[in-house]
Amino acid sequence: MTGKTMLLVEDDPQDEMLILRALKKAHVANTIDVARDGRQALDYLFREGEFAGLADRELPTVVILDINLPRISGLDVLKKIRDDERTKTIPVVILTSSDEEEDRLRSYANGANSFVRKPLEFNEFADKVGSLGIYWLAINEPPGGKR
Amino acid sequence: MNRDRFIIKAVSGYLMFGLCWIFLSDSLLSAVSSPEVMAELSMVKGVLFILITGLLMYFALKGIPDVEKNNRRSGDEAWQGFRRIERAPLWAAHGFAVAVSFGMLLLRMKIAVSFGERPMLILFMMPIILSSALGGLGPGLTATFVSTAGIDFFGIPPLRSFKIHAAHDFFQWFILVVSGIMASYLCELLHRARRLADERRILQEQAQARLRQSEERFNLAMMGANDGLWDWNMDTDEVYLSPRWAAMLGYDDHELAHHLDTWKKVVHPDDMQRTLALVNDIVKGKRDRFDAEFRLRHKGGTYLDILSRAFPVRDENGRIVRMVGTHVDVTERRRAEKVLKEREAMLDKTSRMARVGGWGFDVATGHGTWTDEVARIHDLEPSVETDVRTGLSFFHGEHLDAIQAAVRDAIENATPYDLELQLVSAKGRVKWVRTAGYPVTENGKVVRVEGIIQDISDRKQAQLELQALNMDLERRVEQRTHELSAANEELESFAYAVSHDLRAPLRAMSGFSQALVEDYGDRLDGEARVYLDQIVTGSRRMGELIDGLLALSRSTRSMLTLDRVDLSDVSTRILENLARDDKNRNVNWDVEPGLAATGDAAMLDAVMANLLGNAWKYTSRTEDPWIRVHSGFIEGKMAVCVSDNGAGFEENHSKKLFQPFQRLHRQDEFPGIGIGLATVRRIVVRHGGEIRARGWVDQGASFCFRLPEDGCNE
Repeated sequence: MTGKTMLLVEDDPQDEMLILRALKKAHVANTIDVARDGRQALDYLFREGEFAGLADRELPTVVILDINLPRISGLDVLKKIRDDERTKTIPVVILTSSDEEEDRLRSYANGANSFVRKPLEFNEFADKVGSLGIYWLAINEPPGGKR
Repeated sequence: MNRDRFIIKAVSGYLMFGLCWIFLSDSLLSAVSSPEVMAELSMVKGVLFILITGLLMYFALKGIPDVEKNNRRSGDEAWQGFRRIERAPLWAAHGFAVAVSFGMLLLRMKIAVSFGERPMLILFMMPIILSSALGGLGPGLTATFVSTAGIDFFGIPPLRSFKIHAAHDFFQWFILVVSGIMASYLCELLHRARRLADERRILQEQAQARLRQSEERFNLAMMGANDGLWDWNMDTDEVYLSPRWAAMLGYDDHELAHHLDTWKKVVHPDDMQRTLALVNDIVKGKRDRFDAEFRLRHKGGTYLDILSRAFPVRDENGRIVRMVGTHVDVTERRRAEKVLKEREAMLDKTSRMARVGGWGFDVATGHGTWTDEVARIHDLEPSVETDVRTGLSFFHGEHLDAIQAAVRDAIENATPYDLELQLVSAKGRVKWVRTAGYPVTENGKVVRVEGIIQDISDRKQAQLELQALNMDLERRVEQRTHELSAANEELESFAYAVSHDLRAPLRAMSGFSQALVEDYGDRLDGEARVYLDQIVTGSRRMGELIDGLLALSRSTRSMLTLDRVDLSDVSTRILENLARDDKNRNVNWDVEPGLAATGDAAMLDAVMANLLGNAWKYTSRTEDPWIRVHSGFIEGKMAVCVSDNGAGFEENHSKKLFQPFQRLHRQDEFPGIGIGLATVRRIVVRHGGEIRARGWVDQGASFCFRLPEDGCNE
């Protein structure tokens, strides 16, 4: 499992904490990088701005993306990921508290690999996030193979 | 009377003649010496007497005046005897003169035995008078010549010679000659006088005949013209009134006195002075013709309009002695004129009010007429005559093009037109007019175009204003719609924000509480755990409230897709799910088959889910609970109802039920957030339907809703 990393794009620090706790509880030991808004996420992925120094690091195995983000929305981030040759194959999981049908449809239409609603119930939330981490980091075979 | 006088004259004439004859002839006879000759002469004298008196009687009888004959002829009676002697042809008269003279000569020879040698010249007066009476001067002179020559030759010594010895013989003979000539001349005069009289009489008769004819013609003309005639003698004020004059006023001829007073009696009092003043003007020479109109009262009491024309008749001194004139009844004409005038005025008024006028022009000349209102529309002085060019000169630009094309089409193809165009009046005012033209054809050719023109400026302006108003309204509606949709979008993003942003802190609250229990539970005592549980419970309730609000908001803003929805199916499925999820309860439920409504399937699903969920919830404390889905009525219209025998509610709270967050039960009795029925009502109302609730405390509740059949919404 070493080498496989996850990018979590989440603007809510509380949610971030809960997600990280849930992944830890599920025994996900991979490196998890966090971006707090869309701009930061894109900078991270394209090794630009503050992340220019990480040019030699591998891109994350999976991106967990919230929709409602400051500066650049999650869907726009998704579009940019899919538009760029370097990142277009990276699996993107939308994790959001929105239950709007429209958000779901637009997410898939823009190339999301999965759409997960944040459950209100904490236990359920922890279960789902844990399974998510295990599935995408351990079970799923990424397109680029092991890097 | 004349006849009697004539008879007396004739008898006395006869008596005088007879007596003279007797005394004269007897004294002549006394000169005869021989009794034989005397006897013979007596006989001849008697025969002559008979002959002469017979002749006289014949003329006398012929001259008796006719009883029937007109009095005026009486003056001619003196002529009668003479008149009867027709003048014989000249040769016959001469022959007669010669014959009678010779006859008398022979007679004289015969009676010479008794009378001796005396010439008896007096005898020859007879042939002379007879001849001249018959033939005039010529035959008289012939008779005179023959008689005097004959007696001179045969009867006056020396006999058989024209010489006369004795002075007294010559004197007597000369007297005879003179008498003969005079008698002849007198007779000639008589003849001439008679001829003259005849001629005069014939002329007179002809004149009378002509007069009669002329009178007849005049009467006929008067009758034909239906005119009355009057003839006013200005001296006596007698007025001849023709029968027609009287008939015009409804009277018979004899009913009216032929006097000026008759006129004064029937003339309208207001007209009398004026008319008489007119007559006075003529008398004074201020005016030479009488031409007046006045009213005369008909026998029936109504007044007639009479037109009277007259001329004065003057005597040799130039003084007016008579006035002769006619009457024409013009009542009908005046009435018709009045009606015509009234109608014309009415038409003009109508024209003015409707602002419409008529016009027409001849195709050949282009000349035409128009009514006053057309002129007024053009801001021109009313006139009768106009022409096409004038009419068209008020149009400009595209309007001129349009009217020209229409008129050309009307003339060439007999196509009528009806256009709304703009013109600029003579005063420079811009007006909208409706102008319509209708071709008039003769033998398939358009000879005239007639039409109307109407000022529709007001209407047009109103129309334009209305259009502007409509456009403004549309613009405003668009604006409002835009504003509304903007507001909707705002609401949507608000709802989105609620769903996203309110949940996150809740999850954090419950999540960290949970984490606290999990990670540090061993260090917390029981009471601390209870408090943490309360935080979790509160968070969950808050989450439910948010979900309810989102559902309510979504029921308002999401699009409606109308379908026929089988509510029986939907209800059955929902109830089956409820029963499966809550196996601890045993609810007796029943769904009437075939219930359906037209609406948005997902929303109707939500409606039924809410109503049935409530029913399920509020029957949880009831023994033998039942739930029924069935058909019902709202104000006589078919509705779908959900009824139960659960907790129910107070009837007067039924309105409150549909308000968001209004609850009629305590949370510990029946948990809930009070947003379900608000959502149901919102959906039903959005579909254009209605919902009613009935409840009985601890007995149950019934909710009925109805949607329009055609699915009409919003």
